[in-house]
Amino acid sequence: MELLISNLSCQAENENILNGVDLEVNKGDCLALLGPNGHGKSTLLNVIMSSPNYKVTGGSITFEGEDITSLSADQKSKAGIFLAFQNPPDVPGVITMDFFKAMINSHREKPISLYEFYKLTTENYQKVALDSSMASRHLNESYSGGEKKRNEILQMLLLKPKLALLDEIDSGLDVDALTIIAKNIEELRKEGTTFIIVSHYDRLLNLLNVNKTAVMVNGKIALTGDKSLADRISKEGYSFLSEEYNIDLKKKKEEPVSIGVCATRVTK
Amino acid sequence: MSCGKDNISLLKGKLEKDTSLLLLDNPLEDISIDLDEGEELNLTIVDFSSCSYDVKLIFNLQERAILNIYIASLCLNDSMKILKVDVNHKKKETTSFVSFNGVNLSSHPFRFLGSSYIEENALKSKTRQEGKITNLIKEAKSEVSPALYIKNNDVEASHGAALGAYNEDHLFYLTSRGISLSEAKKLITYGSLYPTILKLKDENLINLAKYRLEKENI
Ligand SMILES: Nc1ncnc2c1ncn2[C@@H]1O[C@H](COP(=O)(O)OP(=O)(O)OP(=O)(O)O)[C@@H](O)[C@H]1O
Ligand SMILES: [Mg+2]
Repeated sequence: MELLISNLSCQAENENILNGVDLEVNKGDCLALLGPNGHGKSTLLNVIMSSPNYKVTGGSITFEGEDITSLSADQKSKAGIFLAFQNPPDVPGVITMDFFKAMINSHREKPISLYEFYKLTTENYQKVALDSSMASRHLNESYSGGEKKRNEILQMLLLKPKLALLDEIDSGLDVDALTIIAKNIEELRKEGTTFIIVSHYDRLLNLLNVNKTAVMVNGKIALTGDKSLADRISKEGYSFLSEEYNIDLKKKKEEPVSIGVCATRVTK
Repeated sequence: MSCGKDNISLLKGKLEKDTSLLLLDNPLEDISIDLDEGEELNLTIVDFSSCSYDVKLIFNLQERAILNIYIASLCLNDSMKILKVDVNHKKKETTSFVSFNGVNLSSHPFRFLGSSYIEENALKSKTRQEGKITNLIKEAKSEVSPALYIKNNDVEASHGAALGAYNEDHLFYLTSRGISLSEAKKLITYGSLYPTILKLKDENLINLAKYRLEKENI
């Protein structure tokens, strides 16, 4: 077992977001993590990566047989986990090249030589069809939406992780970029990388050899299956989950009754 | 230009169009500089000294004068730094830009107070101020306050100010790539000071400034 998540719960700003996630991912899997908006997919990936925005309130994350629940983000990266952010932040002032160098060096004993660094980055800029002159710009600042996504994939290629978590890597990408990214994912997969892919569109999933699907509802994995589950969701949407599996799709964040003119209970 | 010594006296005489000053051992001092008709001044000040001071830099702009000031400043351990920059737009078609980037490691006050005064007859003048201080310790007492005093309608004026600790999202992004927290902070701190350091006009000064940053191990 590559990744084992048991009964994982977390909070942000005193709200429960994950409510006992159980998930098993085997080495070499390509798992599609699906679910309606706002039900916790990004939260799960961010918690796996130790985002400071969430407090783990229960459960555990095991990676390659070791409990990594309380490791810091940099330790997890060094252990071989990579997160492609749904919204990569602009980091003004930090030059992309300096960031790449620090990132690569943090994964090696000896600092990379200038020549090697140049070769490696140029090669991988080509793989994601970005101009390597972008390396001299501030990290993600005034990158277009698609450029940011390609820049995430580029970082994945530079680090060659064991487990890659891709959060809506396909949103905002043009058709050609989608093909390019799918090709890079498949290539890393051949080298043994395991993938968890969050997406709302079947286009990318159909270009990949997805072998598992997990559906997240209300901070839990409500249903798992093979690729056919993802196919069905992309055709029919989520409503069959409640009709056939009795899964409540309403978001269960209970908000206080408002004391306005008309007191109604709102579900967000 | 001599390197290694803080050439503060540089600011006392007639200034060259591009003037840069690196302070490592001496405090800034009060100065007043007049820019004559059509004159241009690009002034870069990198202040990495551990001195304390409360000073005012005054600039008087005559017709069509252009002033650009870039300041990078570290407030270390026990220092207190209060820097006021007054730009007086005396006549028409004057332009000024003031940028201040500070990093605060001190529990004493660190303040940047920039003021642009645009006189009644300084028509078609432009001014912009940007100030930012990054607090590296919890007890930091920083203040960035850009102010505009405008006495006519025909001007372009703007300002921006920011104060804060490290942005958690930035730190998470960098550390999620394997970069340690201290290294990530360093990248971000350098990032805020570097553009100003690189404006120093002498390679030696640039290296000295970088060396000091390394030595302070921020
Ligand atoms: N840091 C946070 N603070 C407060 N609430 C949060 C935080 N992060 C997420 N949430 C809330 O938790 C819920 C789950 O958010 P999350 O981003 O995980 O959803 P998602 O399944 O990825 O949705 P989408 O498909 O729209 O990207 C949402 O209601 C969101 O508003
Ligand atoms: Mg999301």
